[in-house]
Amino acid sequence: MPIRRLAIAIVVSALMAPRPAAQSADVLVPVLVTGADGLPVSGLVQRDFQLIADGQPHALSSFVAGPSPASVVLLLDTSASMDGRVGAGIAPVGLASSLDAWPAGDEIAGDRWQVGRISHGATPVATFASAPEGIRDAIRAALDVPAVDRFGPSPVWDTVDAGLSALESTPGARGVIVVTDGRATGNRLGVRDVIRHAIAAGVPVSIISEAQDDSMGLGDRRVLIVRPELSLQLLAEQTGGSYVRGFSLEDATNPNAPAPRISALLTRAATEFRRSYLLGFETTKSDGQLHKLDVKVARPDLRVQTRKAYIAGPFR
Amino acid sequence: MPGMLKPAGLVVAASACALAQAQQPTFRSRVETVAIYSTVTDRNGRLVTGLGKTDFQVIEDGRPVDVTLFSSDPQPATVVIMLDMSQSVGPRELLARDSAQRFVDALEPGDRVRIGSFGVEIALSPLLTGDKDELTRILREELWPGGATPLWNALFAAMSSLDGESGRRVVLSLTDGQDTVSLPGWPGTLDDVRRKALDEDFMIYAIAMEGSGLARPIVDLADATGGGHFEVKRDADLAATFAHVLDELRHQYLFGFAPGTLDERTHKLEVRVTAPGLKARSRTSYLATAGK
Repeated sequence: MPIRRLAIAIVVSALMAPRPAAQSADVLVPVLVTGADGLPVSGLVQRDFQLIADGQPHALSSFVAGPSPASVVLLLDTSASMDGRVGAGIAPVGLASSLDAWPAGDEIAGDRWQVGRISHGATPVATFASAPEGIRDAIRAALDVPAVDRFGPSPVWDTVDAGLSALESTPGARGVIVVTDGRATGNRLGVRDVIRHAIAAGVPVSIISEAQDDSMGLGDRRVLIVRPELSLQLLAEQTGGSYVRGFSLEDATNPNAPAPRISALLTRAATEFRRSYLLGFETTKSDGQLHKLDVKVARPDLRVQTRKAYIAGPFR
Repeated sequence: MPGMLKPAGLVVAASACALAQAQQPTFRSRVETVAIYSTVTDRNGRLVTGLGKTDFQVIEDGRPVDVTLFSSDPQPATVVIMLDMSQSVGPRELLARDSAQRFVDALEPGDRVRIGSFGVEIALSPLLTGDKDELTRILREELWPGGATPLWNALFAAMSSLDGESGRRVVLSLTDGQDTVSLPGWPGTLDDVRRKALDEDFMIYAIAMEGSGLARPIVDLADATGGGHFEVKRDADLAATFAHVLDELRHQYLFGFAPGTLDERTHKLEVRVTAPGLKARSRTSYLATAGK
C-alpha cells in the first residue's frame, strides 16, 4: 500500500474508532428547604427542584426525600476563651449544665452521634452512639477537659476537619455541628481549607456560636472591630449548614433563667440534617477545582439552603 | 558543620574506650563541641560583619580556649515568635501583628518560624515552617486579644516546642515583660525558664512596645542567653526592630570548642573581640553535659 494511502487509512481508522466515554461521577448535594417559619419543609418531589451547576441546569440522577436518620458529629469548644465575659471556668460548666439531660429521647431518634471537643490535646472524635444515654456519656466525656488543655490553643478548624473525615465514608444524611466562639488558634488548617474539605465531602457544617465582637488596636488610636463570627458564618454558608448566634452560657448556669437554649439548638440542627433532601447529579469534570452550584425550588415562599459549590474530581 | 550541632550545643560521639573511661573520676570523650552564637556591634550599636576567627577570643572560666569551629556565614534561624495579646499590651495588637509580618516577609530559605500568642490562652501554632503564606495566614486568622500575661508559661512552652530541633534555637517575644498570671496546669516559672534557656542553649529576644518597658528578669535572661532586648521609643519603630532582630540573627558568628570535661556543671563563657570599640554579645555560660 502506498505510504500516503496508508496514512489516510490510519487517520480514518482513528476517527472511526469509538471514543472512550468521559468518566462521570455522581455528586450528592444535601438541600434543606425551609418555610417562612424557618422550619424544614417536607413533601417536595424531584420535579420541584432545579439544580444549576457551572451556570447550567443539570438533570437529577438521584433524589431522596427525607426524613432519613442522620450521622452527626458534635464538636464542643471547651477552650478558655469560651468563658468570654461570663467568668473563668464557666464554659464547660455551662455546657454541661445545658446538655446534662439532653437528648431525652425522641428528638434525635435514629440518629448516630459522635461527640468531640475543641481544645489543646483534644482526643480524636469518639465512636458513634445512638442511644440517648450513650450520647449523654459522650458529651460528659468531652466536657471533662483538663485545665492545661483549656488554656491551650483552640484548634477549631483542625477539629472540624477531623469531624469531616469521620463522616466522609458515612452514607446518608450527615452533618457537623460546632459549638464555639470562633477564636481559632493553633490550627494546621485555615477556614478555607475546611470549607473545601466540607464541600468535597458534601457535608454541611452548622454553627452554634457564642462569638463576641472584640477590638484590636493599631497603636495610633485606630481600632478595628474583630468579629470571629465572620469565619464561622462563611463556613456555614458555603457548606450549606446553618449559623445561629446567641446561646448564653450565663443563662445556662442561672437557675432562674429560661430553659437552656443550646439543647434546643442542637435538636434543631440535627433535625435539619435529617430532613434535608439529597439530590444527585452527574458530572464529567475531574479537575479538582471548585465549581459553582445552586439549587432552586419552584415555590417562591420557600428558602433553599445548600452548599455553594462542588469539587469535581479528587480532593487534596 | 553548624547544622550538626545538637540542641544543647554539645556533640558527643563517645567510643567504647571513652565510655569505659567515663566511669573514672575524669570525663573524657572523643568529640565534643560547645556552640556559641555571637552578635558583634560597634560603639553605635551597628552590626559588624566580616570579622575572622583571629579577631576573637573565646574565654571559658577565665581561660582562653582553642576554637575548633568558626563560621561567619549566614545561619538559618529557627525562631518562635511569641506575641503578647494580653490587655496590658493593647490596644496595639494589630501593630504587633503587622510588625511580626515584617519579620516573616524577610525570611530566607532555610529559616523556620513558629508563631504563638499568649493572653487568655497560650496558643502555639503546630507549624514550624518557612512558608510565608502559612505564617501570614496564622498572623491574620489566629491572634485574639485579651487576658492577663502568662509570660513565663508562654516562654517555657515556646522553648519546649523546639525540643528536638537542632542548631540555633531562638524565642522572640513581643511583650511588656511583666508576668502577671500563671495559667492552670501550665509549667514554667521564671526559674524554670532561666534554667531551660541556659542549660539547653536557647537564645531569648525580647521587644517592648513604646512606653511599656521590659521588666528586669527578662532583660537579664536575654543577656544571659546571648539574645537581645529592645525597647522601642516609638511604636512606629516596632516593625523595624523586628527586622533588625532577623538581620542580627543572620549575621551572627558561630564558634565551637571542645570542653575540657563533661562534669555536669555550668561554666562561664565570654567572647571577646580583639579590635577596639567592638563588643560581642553571646551566652554567658553553658552546661557541660553529655546527656539530653
